[in-house]
Amino acid sequence: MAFRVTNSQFTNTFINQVNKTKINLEDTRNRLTSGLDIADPSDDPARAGTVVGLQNTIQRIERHKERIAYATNFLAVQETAMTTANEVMIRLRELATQGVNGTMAPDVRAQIADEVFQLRDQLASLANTKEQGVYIYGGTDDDDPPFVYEGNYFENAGGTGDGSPAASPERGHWLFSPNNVITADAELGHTTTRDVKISDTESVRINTSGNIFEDAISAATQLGRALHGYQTSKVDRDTDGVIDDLESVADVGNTNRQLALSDPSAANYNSELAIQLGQIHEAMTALDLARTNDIETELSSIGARLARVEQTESILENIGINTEQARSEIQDADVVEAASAFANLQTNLEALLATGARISNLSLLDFI
Amino acid sequence: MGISDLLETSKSALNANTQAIRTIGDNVANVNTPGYTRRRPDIVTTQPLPVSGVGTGVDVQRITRVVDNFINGQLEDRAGDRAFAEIREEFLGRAETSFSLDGVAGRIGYEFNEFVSALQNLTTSPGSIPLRTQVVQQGQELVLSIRQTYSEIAALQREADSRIGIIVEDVNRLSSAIADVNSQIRESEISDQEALTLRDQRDQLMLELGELVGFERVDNSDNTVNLYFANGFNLVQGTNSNDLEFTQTPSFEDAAPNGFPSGLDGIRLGHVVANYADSGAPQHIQLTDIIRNSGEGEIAGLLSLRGVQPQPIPPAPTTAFDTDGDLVQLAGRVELFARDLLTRVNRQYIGQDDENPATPLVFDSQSLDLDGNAANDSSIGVVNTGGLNGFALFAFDNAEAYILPGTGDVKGTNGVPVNTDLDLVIAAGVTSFAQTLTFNISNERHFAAARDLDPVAGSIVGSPGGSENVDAILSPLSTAPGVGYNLGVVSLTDMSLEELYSNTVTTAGGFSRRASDDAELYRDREEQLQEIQASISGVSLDEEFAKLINFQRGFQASSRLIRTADELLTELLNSVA
Repeated sequence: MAFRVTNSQFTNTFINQVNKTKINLEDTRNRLTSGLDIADPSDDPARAGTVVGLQNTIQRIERHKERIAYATNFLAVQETAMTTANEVMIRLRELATQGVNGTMAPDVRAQIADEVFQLRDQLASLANTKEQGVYIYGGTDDDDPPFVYEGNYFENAGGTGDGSPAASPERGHWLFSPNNVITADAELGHTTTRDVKISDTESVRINTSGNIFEDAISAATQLGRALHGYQTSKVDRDTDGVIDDLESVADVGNTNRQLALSDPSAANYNSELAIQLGQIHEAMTALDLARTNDIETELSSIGARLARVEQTESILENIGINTEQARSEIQDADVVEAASAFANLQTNLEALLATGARISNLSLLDFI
Repeated sequence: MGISDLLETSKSALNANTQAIRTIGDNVANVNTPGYTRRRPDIVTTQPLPVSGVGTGVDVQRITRVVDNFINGQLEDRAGDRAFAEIREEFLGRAETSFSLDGVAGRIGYEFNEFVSALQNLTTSPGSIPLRTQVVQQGQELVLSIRQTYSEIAALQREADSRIGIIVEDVNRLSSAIADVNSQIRESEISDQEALTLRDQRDQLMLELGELVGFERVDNSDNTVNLYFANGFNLVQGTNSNDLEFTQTPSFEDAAPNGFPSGLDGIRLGHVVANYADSGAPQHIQLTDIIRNSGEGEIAGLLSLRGVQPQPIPPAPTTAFDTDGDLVQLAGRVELFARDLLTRVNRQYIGQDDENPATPLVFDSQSLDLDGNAANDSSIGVVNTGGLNGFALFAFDNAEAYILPGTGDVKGTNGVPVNTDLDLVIAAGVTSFAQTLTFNISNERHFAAARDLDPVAGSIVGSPGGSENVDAILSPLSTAPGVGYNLGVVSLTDMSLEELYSNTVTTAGGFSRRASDDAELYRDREEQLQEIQASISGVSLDEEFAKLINFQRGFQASSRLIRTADELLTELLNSVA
């Protein structure tokens, strides 16, 4: 190209070449130290957008995993509560079976009733379980328990009570908050359920409304009261085939009626005992219904949801690894390649400096 | 013809060789002087004697510069191209760092994702104070990252603008120096001999000027040059130069309110002009477009970054984003991000009238904070909006000063912010929302996560653990296309915020990459020309020394001739005697 090589031309070219090689060396060194091929968007603008997308996905997966951990924990607490509740229900059923034995003395039944009420209260406290400051069966109403003990329930209902809490447990009742007309609560949301996002597309319901305990608790109350000798529902007392007893649930107050069981020699003892046994049978049916319809159904539902969350977690794990791999392939430097490029450039620079220095020394001046 | 003539001839040879050696001395001395072109003595045979035809010797007619004016002109252009690309490379490289891919906190994309995650986490337990704190912190971080990114770009634009002002001064210095040199050349080049040093100096000055601004050159018959822009404006006209000015208040600007758009920081941008009024009020001629369109020189590069303002001025309201420049384009994308947060998120956050779906935009706050207060209740310290206002979650500095259309209430209690509302606020004087964006919640209890659960109109009842409002904010953020703006020169609609950010990163990277590729290309091309130029005009020491030997021998031979002539004369005289 050039027909003359002048001193300034030679110097400039030499400086430019050294500069370029040094810039390349610096780039390669940066790649080696940062481990990234694409550290700034301009390193590869077309793929920078992809890298951002992949980084976002990785970031999101991490957050999904945090929520999955929360959901798993929340569901596991419920699973424990529900398993315990199921055991309580089975025990209640056993107690009912014992109590339905006609030869048993009424005061022994009343003693069984005490244990029944204990178990009922255990059910209620399971329903009021708190986890991380939240009532797990409380819907979105975090500051109020789903079940409230209303001691004077039966007195008030009968219109005979004075409104003060009952002294003995059989006279009170656990109320599920929505029906709670006594403590006027302005907040709603007791039956609202929570969905937690566990992946970009999937959400899982992490709670159940407290009303799944409602039937179980009231069945337990019914059983306890029946064992204690209260009439709890209508009966066909004149056995004419029609449930026409005036002292029935229709006349609400009379659910308080104490059956006359204290004197086995009384004329109506047998009919009253028959009513009590019938009432215990009714309570047993209610217990069975509550267990199969609510508790067991919920148990399997929780199991299914837990399985789903775990499955999603393992899918996310895989996606996370794949995404990270994809990002790494695009963005990360190939260290071996970069290192050998670095070595190459180093050799280049050495050669350049050596030849440059040698040519600079050659001049006609040295020979005249 | 006599022997004495031989003496004359030898004397001329001695002279010529001496001059040639002096020229070599000059060349060797200036081997490293920038802008020096090597000299060459034009050695010619003198006129022979008329009758005999015997030669009379040699003469150095003049010393010429070995120069190719065409190459020099090209070199000025290349230097201009290179300077244009290099200044762009510098600025866009700096702008790009705001969108770096190192995946660390502080970038908009990262903070946005964290904010969305914080909201999603909150749905697991909306009453939880730690989760609420996370939302408030991430909201503030997001706002901070947007503000920071925007101000970094705005600061670059301002820097570009003030650099133009400084460079214009430099241009004036160079053009007046060239005019000076022009006049010296005209005066000293009366004879055949070129004013060598002055010409070198002028070429060097023009090369320097070419790095700053692009121009055309024409040589005049009196050896001066004219330098002019594409529209005919003479920067240098023979021995005169016309000064450029850099002003923020050009005489050709219409009276307010329809002025030129401001810079990204809300302060006016400058114009490159020349004043052609002899006295009195300035009469400016607009040169900004011409210089920008030349695509050569640092000023053009800075203008392409900073943006050239539209002409004629578009109808009001003009915004900073009507200016067409690379930095404005980047800032425009950040601005879109901020506007989308202000409109879409706030609209969801306040809650619409679910009891009256036929009029979905009628304002009726449906969202409740942890204490059961409405999202935009002034009593919960909605920081900047001074009471009931549509800007309840994301707001901007002094938002309370701007009225949103609605019921006629000064604070616009009816104002669920929509795009046109922002336009009105802009018309009222806000330059950019990204610059002044704020996150309105500072107390975590005041973040409204729940919504009205009571279907009865007028009565608003929620539950403290409700997450209905968070769900409402989240659904458009992560899925539906959002950005519904065309902002000045940035035309992007129907993108989700995440897509918008990826697009911004790619754009920033693309700008920076193109600028650095261009810079490399133009550097190479300039180097090539410099090599050619050095090859033509540069000094080669070997060549000079070779010539030195030549001329030295010539000098020695001429001396020998004189001795020979002397001997001949002596012999002649002796024979006569």
